[in-house]
Amino acid sequence: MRSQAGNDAQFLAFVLGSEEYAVDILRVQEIRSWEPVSRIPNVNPYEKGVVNLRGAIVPIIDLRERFNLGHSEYTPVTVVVLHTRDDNGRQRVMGVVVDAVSDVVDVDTAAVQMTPDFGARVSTEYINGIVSVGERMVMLLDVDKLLKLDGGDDDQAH
Amino acid sequence: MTIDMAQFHQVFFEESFEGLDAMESGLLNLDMGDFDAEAINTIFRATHSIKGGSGTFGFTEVAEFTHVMEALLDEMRDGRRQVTQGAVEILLGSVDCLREMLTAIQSSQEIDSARVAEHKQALDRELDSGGVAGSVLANEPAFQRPGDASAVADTVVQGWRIAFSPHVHLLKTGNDPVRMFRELAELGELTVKVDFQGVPDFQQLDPEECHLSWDLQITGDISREQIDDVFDWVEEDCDLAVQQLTAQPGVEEKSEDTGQDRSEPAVQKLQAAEVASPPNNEEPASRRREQKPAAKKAPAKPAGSSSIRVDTEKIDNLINMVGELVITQSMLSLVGEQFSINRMDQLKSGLAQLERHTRELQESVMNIRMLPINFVFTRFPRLVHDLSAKMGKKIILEMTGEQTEVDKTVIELISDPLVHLVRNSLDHGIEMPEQRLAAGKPETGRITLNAYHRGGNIVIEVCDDGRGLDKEKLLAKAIEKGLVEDNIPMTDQQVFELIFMPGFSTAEQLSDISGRGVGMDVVRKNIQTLGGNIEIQSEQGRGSVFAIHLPLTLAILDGQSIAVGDETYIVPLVSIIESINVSEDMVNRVAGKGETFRLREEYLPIIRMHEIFGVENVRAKKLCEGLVVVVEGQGVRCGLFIDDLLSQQQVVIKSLEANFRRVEGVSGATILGDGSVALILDIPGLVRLSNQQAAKAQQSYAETA
Amino acid sequence: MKINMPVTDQEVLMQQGTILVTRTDLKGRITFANDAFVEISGFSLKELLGANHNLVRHPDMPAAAFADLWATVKAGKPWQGLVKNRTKTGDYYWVEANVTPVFEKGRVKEYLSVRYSPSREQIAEAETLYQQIIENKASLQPQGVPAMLKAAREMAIWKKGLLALLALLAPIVWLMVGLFQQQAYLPLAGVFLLAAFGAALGVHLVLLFSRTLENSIGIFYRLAEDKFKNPLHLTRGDQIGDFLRGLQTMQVKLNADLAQSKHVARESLRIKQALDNVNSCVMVANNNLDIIYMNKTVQAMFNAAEQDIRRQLPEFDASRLLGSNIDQFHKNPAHQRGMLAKLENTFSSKLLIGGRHMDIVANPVKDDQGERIGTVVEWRDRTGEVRIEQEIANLVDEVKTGRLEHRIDLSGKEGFYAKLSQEINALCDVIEQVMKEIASVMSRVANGDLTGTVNGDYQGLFGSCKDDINSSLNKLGEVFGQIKQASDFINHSSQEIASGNNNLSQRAEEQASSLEETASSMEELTSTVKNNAENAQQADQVAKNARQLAENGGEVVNQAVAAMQEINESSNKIAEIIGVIDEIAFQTNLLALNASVEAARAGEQGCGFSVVATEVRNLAQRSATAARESKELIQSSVQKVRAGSEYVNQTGSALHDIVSGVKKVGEIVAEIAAASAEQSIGIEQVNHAITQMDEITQQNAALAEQASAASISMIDQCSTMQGLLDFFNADLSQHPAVTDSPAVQQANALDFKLAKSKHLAWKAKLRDFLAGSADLTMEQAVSHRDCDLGKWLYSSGLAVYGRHPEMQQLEKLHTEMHGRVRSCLEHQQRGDSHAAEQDYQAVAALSDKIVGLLGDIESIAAGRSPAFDLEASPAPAANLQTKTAVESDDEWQEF
Repeated sequence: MRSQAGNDAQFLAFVLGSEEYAVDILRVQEIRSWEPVSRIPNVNPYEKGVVNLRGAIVPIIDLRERFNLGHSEYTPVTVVVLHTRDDNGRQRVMGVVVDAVSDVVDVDTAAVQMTPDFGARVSTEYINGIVSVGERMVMLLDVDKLLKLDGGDDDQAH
Repeated sequence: MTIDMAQFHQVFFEESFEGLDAMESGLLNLDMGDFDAEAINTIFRATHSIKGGSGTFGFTEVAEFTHVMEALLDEMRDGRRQVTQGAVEILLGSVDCLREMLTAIQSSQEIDSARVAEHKQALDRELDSGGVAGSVLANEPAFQRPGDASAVADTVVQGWRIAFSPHVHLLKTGNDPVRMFRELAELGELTVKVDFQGVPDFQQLDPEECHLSWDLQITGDISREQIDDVFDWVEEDCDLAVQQLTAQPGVEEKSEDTGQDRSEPAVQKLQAAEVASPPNNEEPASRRREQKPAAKKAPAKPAGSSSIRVDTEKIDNLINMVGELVITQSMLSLVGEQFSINRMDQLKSGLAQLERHTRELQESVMNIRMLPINFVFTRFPRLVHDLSAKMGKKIILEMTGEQTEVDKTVIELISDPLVHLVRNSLDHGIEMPEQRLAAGKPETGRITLNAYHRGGNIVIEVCDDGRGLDKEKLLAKAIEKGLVEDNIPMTDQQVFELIFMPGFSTAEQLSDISGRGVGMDVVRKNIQTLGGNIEIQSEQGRGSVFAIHLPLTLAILDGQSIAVGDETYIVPLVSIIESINVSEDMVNRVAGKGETFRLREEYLPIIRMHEIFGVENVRAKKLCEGLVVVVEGQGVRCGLFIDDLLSQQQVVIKSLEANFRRVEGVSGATILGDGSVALILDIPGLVRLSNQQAAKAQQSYAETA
Repeated sequence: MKINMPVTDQEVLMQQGTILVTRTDLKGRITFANDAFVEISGFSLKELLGANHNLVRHPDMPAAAFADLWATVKAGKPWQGLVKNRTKTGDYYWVEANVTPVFEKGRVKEYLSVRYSPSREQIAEAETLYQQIIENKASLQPQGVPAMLKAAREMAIWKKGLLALLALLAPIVWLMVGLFQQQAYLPLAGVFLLAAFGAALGVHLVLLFSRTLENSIGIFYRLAEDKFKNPLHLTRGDQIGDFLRGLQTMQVKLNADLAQSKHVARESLRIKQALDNVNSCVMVANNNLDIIYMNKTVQAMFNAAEQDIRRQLPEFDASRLLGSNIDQFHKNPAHQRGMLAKLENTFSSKLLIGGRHMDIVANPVKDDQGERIGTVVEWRDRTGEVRIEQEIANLVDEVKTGRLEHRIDLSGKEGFYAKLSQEINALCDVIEQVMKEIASVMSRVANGDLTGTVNGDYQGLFGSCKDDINSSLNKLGEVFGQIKQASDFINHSSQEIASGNNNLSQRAEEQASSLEETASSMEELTSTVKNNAENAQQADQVAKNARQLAENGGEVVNQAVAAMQEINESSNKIAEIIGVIDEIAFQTNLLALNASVEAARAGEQGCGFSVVATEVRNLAQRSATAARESKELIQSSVQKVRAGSEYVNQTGSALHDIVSGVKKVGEIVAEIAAASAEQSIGIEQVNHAITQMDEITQQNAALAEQASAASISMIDQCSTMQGLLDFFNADLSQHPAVTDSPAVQQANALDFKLAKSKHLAWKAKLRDFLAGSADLTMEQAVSHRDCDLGKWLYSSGLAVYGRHPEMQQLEKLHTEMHGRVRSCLEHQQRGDSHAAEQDYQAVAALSDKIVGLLGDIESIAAGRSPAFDLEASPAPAANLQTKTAVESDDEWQEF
């Protein structure tokens, strides 16, 4: 449900290092605290492994590492945001490790600015736009791109 | 159409699809010249129940369409009409059409009215052409449906003409025509004409039999339902033709159009959201392709996969077991409330009971998932029938082991590969009749589908007695396409394997049946996804056998947990041959890196799990410190070097791809008792992975050197 | 068939001229075997008698031979043949066996076998034959033509006669017919031949009979000459054979009987000669009681007793006893006859003939059939025995009543009795001598003369009795001497004590007055010290109070520390709780966020819920913030508490120091107080002691006076006792043998020369011991008290000569020397030869010195004891010396 003109949309904002990001709340399935994962061999380092989510096997990726923001220790208050992604009619769930979830923000889609090349450490390709919430600047992430990762489910070149 | 009704839709659709399947197989039987009253009856009953159901749920178009079919079948059943090839073809087409209509309705989509109309016309034409007594009636059915709830308001109903000819045994069923006539008389003005023609000589007359037939005319504002109600009890025991009597002459000419027009409002009602899309009237040939994008739009819910029909006995069994489980549970909670150490035995026995029941329950539930492979096989007679006609080949399809039970998931996923294989056999395997004769074979080719259990696997074979695979041609083609290098000696099996290579098709001509170069690779991939494999046996000029080996169920496997460092993996028990301690002196190192060890005159490569999976904190670094598990997968044997063997357990297979992607060397994941996730190893994948790594190592070695 | 194994190839040759005779019963069991048979068979007679005769069967003998034997003898015919027999050891011997049945009342009673020594040719022939029989190549009985010939030859005589008759008659008849009918020559010749045959047969018969008769006559003569080994033709089947067999049977039987008779005769002779030479007197009489046999001993006995017997039986003549009747010994021969005739068992009786005591043992003699054939009589002459018994009994009666002067008359006694009498007389002599000597000594003692001694040389109880009496007398003399000496001493000492006591009582009085003064000055000192102690006590109390106060302060501080600690712990707990709250806030936040997500999904309908979720999130965030702030606060309070407890801890330690300081002061003061108290007590004790001393001194003074008085009275008593002893003294002086006191006597009893030589000998002995040529044990290296010198030193030597410095030195050196000897032995045993050598050197030096000292003492002793001017008796000393010398000649170690 992409917001078009002047619609309010809700975003889930979270903190990654010193920066604040947000994702479309409708793409969030659940927010959980960190729990140990089972490692998967021979995958990217930021793909931390899989956990058991009520019987489903869900991969967990570390967004910090994904964005090359360094590594942070996982504590019981580390937060995992489970995102859903529609993949050819199939719902895929994937967990994303973030530093902290800050807020649910209502965003007027009209107020979303296009991404300037502001030299954020995150490659702008994952960013749909920037919005100001109060004093803060929040980057809106493209969940699909984010989760598609390197080719998603099909043959992946290592 | 009430909201309450909606909950029964699903059941209706399932029953209807089953009915369609039954009709189809029945028709195919007829097609084979196997004329049988009972066969027609079966088809008729299926048609009839679809008609009834669709009427009940207000799927008017379906009801109307089936009515026409019913009429045709009725004539056939009564012997008033010859069962001809043409009629059967038309009926088969109608069955397809009906299936499409139902599918459309089920997924809340627009019915392809043009196609419906086309089929209906074909049916009507058939009714007209070969009609004996029913030629007049044959034109009528189109008008009957509109008489139903939604359409009734627009039509002026003068009355009804009813041709009622009960079967001779009607009286024995306790039905009394006189009582029925009295009921009809209460609805309106009734005129009754008796037809004595069927009455035999007096000497042969049995007073308990009914040899009379009646022609009834009733006038008045009477709905069709009212009349049907009267004949409700005798429907099966008589020949009944109800015709609407209209006041205005000439309405008959418009009948085709009205049929079509009338359907639209209904569709509009159903598909309120899709106002903009107009009905497609063009080109029947393109319809199939157009439907595909339409299907894509549907909210991802593949038809027919969401529910299964289960034998009530299985359900009863299940309920019993759940009952047992509840009793055990209450016993355990009682023990738990008043627990003392001397009730430990009780607790233990309770837990054992619980375990047993859980296992039984699991087996039962798994059993519920098991369906006969027939669910897949049923479509093939039709497929073969259609295709052989199209290609001008004469082919007999034989099926054995249809009752072999397979997991539902397997049924769903094996369907496409099987279709592909059968098509392949039809297209490439079986020769043209003249070629066959020239080769000294019977004119009619034979394709055999065979399913059976072997070990923990189910084997599905597709055999043909066609020309078989041409090895030279295959090889030449592969070389031409650069898939293999020239001058490399290959075994038959390796040559056959070529057809599974992506982008490989040997058919000289592209047909719309096969030979698009995508196919066999997909087939193999699908089968591998199911945890199975495919083998080819072929003899040139004699035929081929494609044998698919599949695990019985995909959901659960017997696994052996192994420890590698801090991590736990599951090895499918069927892959394990043995576990041994390997001492260093049993090991040979080949070219520095690759390790093999000797086991009873056989040299097996050693795959060090921690190296291949990059596991840290490994306990056993030397071979003598850990264990080597000898495993076999797809004919490849190797030794997995691990730290330790843990427990053996049944594990529920969870897809890793559902939310992630395929990982080489891993076939899936499972959830262990403590809730953590363990990966299930894929032995052939591991071997590939090992080879890749070895190659990489070799390469880097070469580079550095 | 019985096969006796083993067998050897050793042949035992039968002596030429001997015959082996056995009798066997009908079952073949041996009932008799003569000595020759027993000897050659190797079995004992006991083993043979009752055993089956096949005991000696040799396995080389064919069964057929025995079958033939048994068949022959069972038919009542004698059998003759060569037999190979086996000895017990398995050797073999060949015999020419003659077996014949013995008839009694017409029935075969037993079998008699007589065997002769065969010639070598016979043996060779038999061996071959038996070998062939065993190999079935020959048989004992002839077969076929030889058998027929034999049958014809041995045809019964009547048949032969008949044949001869026929042969005579037939040709005559035939001749008559032939002559009558044909008158041919040929038949005539036949008639002639037949007639010749008949004539020949007749001649043959006559010859046969005459030859047999001649042979038999020869045999009978030979038999008469005791030549039994006559060959006979036993196998003939006709009457001549029967005749010869009968002859054979007779010959065998005779031979056997003769052999048996010889056997019996030899046995009898053996017994007779044995009897002749036995020591018992044996006489045999026949049923008529005529003496038919006397052995040599009985003859000698009667020869010796002849004179005595003649006194009673004047007719008795010992040389003509044999053949005379036994009646001559008896006055009442009838009784004797009756008794002996009825004699069935051994009969004993005593007989007194002419003053001779005789014991008679008679036994009946019976023959094989149990018939009485005589009497055997054993004689024993007991005359001398009886007389000596009488005399000894008389003597013993005399001795019993103390009359020891009687003796047995030795005249007329000889042998045992003379010896016995002599010994008994000697016994009486000894007893008489002992008793007499003791009686005379004891009578002297009764008169106060202790000088008498028993001097006889006696052994055993007499000896010990003598020694005991002598030593009793010696001891008595010694005791009296010592009592006299002691009373002299006491007399002298009492006088000294009396004067000493006077002196003592004077001094005690002086001491008592000075003690009184000391006591009063001690009193003053005591009061001063007591004052000090009280003051110190007070100071201690003050110090204790101060310490108590300081300790209380410390306790308070500790409590404060503990409280601080608790506050700290509580703070930590609060921090934990806040952590939990924080956690909850986090989870709540997550839940609220999830709720927000759900709400957003629900779209419009979720709007309200979204607001609630936001609120919850705000709440959660607020509680998280609050928790965080609380955490900070708690953390700062924890910090402050920590600082506070640090201060309190410091205070605590300062107080602790004060407490310990005060404690030390208190302890010192307490020590002073205690010391003062102890001092005061000590002074008091001193005071008390002085008072006691004062009292005691005064008592002492009194006692001294009393003692003085007592010693004076003791002098009186002593004088009295000396007066009493003088009675003995006078007696003692009369006997020069006991003039010295026993102690002095003993002191002088040492053989100084011997002692010197013995102690010098130690050197040599030790040297030998160290060189390994002699052995020495610890027992031999006796202690310095147990050698003779030591015994002398510690019994009387020191007592008598102890005043002399030489004696004291001797004692010391002697002790040291013995110690050195022992240590030398120990060192050598431990293998420390160096130390042992040193010990030896020391012993050598010491022994020289000891010898020198002994010489000195000897001269002192020779110059008489200065304390007692008594002369040592040389006689007993010499006596003792010799005795010692004799006894210890080889027992050098006694020194």
